[in-house]
Amino acid sequence: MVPEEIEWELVNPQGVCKPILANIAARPSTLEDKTIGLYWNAKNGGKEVLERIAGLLGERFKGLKVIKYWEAVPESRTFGGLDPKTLSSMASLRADIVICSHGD
Amino acid sequence: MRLARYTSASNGMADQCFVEIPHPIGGIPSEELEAKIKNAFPHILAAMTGWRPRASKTPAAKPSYPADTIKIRGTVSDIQELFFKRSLSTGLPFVPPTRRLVANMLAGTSHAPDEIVWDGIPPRMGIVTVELVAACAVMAGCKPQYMPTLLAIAEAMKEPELGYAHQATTTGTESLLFLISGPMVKEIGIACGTGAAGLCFQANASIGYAIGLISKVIGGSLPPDRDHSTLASPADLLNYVLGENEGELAWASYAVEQGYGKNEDLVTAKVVYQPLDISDHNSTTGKELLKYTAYSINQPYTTCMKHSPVLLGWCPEHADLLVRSGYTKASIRQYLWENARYPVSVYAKAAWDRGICSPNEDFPELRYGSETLVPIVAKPEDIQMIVCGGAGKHSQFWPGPKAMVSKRIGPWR
Repeated sequence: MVPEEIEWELVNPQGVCKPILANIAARPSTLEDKTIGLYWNAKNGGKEVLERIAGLLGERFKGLKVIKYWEAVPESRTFGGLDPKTLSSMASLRADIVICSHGD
Repeated sequence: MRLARYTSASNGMADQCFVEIPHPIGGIPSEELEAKIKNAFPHILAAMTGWRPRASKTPAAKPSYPADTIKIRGTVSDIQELFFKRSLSTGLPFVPPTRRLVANMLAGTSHAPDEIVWDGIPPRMGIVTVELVAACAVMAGCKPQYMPTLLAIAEAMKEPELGYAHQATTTGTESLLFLISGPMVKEIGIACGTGAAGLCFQANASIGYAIGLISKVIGGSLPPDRDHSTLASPADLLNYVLGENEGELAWASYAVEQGYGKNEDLVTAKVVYQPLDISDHNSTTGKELLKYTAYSINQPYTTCMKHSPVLLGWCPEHADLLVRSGYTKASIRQYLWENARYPVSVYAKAAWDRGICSPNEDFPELRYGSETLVPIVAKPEDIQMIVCGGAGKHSQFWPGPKAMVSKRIGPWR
């Protein structure tokens, strides 16, 4: 017996997404005398990569300052997501640009 | 990378500056890592000073209610195929969510269908309305009287301390467990005895499936690009739903312990790893059982000495033995916390750097040597206990990160 074809009207269960627009900060034209923040999500190898990158940048740009968030804001050292209080603490350190390591 | 771009876009950054360093970067020889860094460095440098985002504007806000209608002429099989192709289902059979069935489901709550329960479920940041909860409930085979419980569960899931966003995308085998307490257990037939944590009871199974659909369809937590569970488990979709076996309780229920009334309907959510069966048929004293249990649950977790509760589900026979042997919940917790300890040396040094297991201010007396024994959680109170299950000598243990979050069901009636 052939299954019957009928007309269906179904509710799309997926719904819409929250409309968000984040303003992305402009890049500095140079890193001289700038402060870079290094965010590490506590995954293996990320810290070593960030520190090496900071080292290479330091060789190239004079006056470069580095904030290692995993030291300055220890609670940021997590792969479980950053809560608003931790993000606020990190932001208060006023880095000009941040490199985030998101590996697993 | 796909998850990173997707999450970025979902959070309003349609264009984001990524530089990809090929996986893995952990656990590889230093020369190999150095080569990867050197290759990536020019791109990182360009990204830091030269990158400019594409212009983007705030996406138009589409109304979250009513949900779109899908019109199709076909068979039930055609609907299954269509929904799966459009990521509106996960491939398991479902009940087609017709307008009439969704309207019937909405009768299970006094809350308006356009009410927003969660204004952005990660990673897709989908808006969860009462209507969409009803649609997923229809698909999962729920009854209208389950709606207040489903809505309370959605309310619990959005609390940051639960850690839902991480659970939805992690490589870990985390899933969700929902404990139902109070008269609602009997009212809607939530199984709390034999087979309670399985899938053979309509209320438990369909509620777990409905929440799974909310996660996967509205939230977009689908493998392989968004849900990165390395292996996953059935509970990724069919979440654990069980009732506390209050008829077998020798001590206060979890809900009462947390300060809720005995007759309050409550849902408690927890992110959990896969359970461990504590199969002890031989102990004849509480002490023997606790010794066996301490050894069973004594393994390294990502919650080493963290303030993250773990959940121990005592079967009634084990709970009865403990009570007859004079143990209280407090003394059980104390015993397990003191005896479920393993050498901190099992963690590689990298775990210390990462903060997986780190000297904890709660243990000032510990001198961390290679054979220092550390407990599975930071304090005894983090070992939460319920009584569940039927006849037999099998208790279950659910470890897991983050907090347990409770919400009252009553306001959602």
